[in-house]
Amino acid sequence: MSNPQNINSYRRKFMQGIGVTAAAATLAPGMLLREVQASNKEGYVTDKVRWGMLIDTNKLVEGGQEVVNACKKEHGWGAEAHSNERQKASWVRKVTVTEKTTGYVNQLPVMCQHCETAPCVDVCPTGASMKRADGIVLVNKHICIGCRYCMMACPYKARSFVHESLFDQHADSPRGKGTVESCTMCVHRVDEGKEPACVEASNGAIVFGDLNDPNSNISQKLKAEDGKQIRADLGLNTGVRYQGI
Amino acid sequence: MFGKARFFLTAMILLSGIILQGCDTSHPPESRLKTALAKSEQCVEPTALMRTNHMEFIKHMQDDTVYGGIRGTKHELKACINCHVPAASEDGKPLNYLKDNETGELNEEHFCATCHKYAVVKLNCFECHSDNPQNEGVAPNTAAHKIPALTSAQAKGGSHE
Repeated sequence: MSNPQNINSYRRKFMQGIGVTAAAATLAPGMLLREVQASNKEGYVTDKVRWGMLIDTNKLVEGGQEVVNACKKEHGWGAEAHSNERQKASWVRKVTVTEKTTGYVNQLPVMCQHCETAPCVDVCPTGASMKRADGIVLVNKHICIGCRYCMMACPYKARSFVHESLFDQHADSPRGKGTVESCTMCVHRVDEGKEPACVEASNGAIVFGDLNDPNSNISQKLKAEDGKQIRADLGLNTGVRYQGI
Repeated sequence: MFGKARFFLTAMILLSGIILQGCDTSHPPESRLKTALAKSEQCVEPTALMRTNHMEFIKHMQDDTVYGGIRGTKHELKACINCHVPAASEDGKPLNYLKDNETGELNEEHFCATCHKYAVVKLNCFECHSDNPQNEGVAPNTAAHKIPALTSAQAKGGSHE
């Protein structure tokens, strides 16, 4: 039989354990928040810019069908032969909302909102879901294990999982089976100083620019006319803003 | 004691000799490497260095591109493909890394597959990345729609200095 001395030492250890667990629980939220810090590495993007988009739903044709088409053309998603409708990739989709009291129907394109505090980045177990220093939220598919945690965490249903082997991908938009993908804000074009494909196709309905620069087109327009975040109540400070919703 | 060790060693050498006997000692067919050999002088690094270290160059580049937005450098996979892989094989069909998408059989006419098949390398670059330069320019970036007053240097974050 165990003697009282032992019981006391067990009890002490147990209490210490509780203390450590409580300390970890207090620290954990801060520790788990993964963010790519502004790097000093030569030529790397910095946090001096934060890319954003302002979408005027009133100016969009067919609720943004041309935006969806331009995205498909640029990145080559949506033609997965062996996937069913629910499995097929969808980087941007048209959402129809109806005001119940008046019956007013509005449509808006919804894609990755490039949140400042992105839930997908928080939950990723491998660090594949990441935010670039300039605010663009991406999946680093080299280390994505396809667990789809980020898809669960995203309040905008912006991410898709590739269910099948893909062939003949576009050179600037690598996509592959077993990884999660979403709108990249056409990062390959932005790096070259160009605008995203959807912005180019929208005939002025979408304004792209630097949210950190008070003199940029997008900042000026936001200051003069304002723009809404979808689910602003979540406090994610999205990089994509809307007008006319 | 030593006799036992010597016997074991001899047996191992003999056994490995027998095992290696089964290996094909032939090199990748030179004819398949026509494009590669033609361009080997112009390659970004000396041929010997590339043969042993190309995967390291590509691996380092992947992080710089994903995290830092650095594109268009000489060690980029896209640059390798654009230079070494012709858009179509001699019969006019697109030249892909895999000969058969279903079985996963490698296409020895593809520059990368020539050696990878010979060396039995299984890699997953082309599960996601384009294996053919023909996909270059599919995207509508011919319009070159530049952001007003935004140079590439500013795009990297230099606009508020």
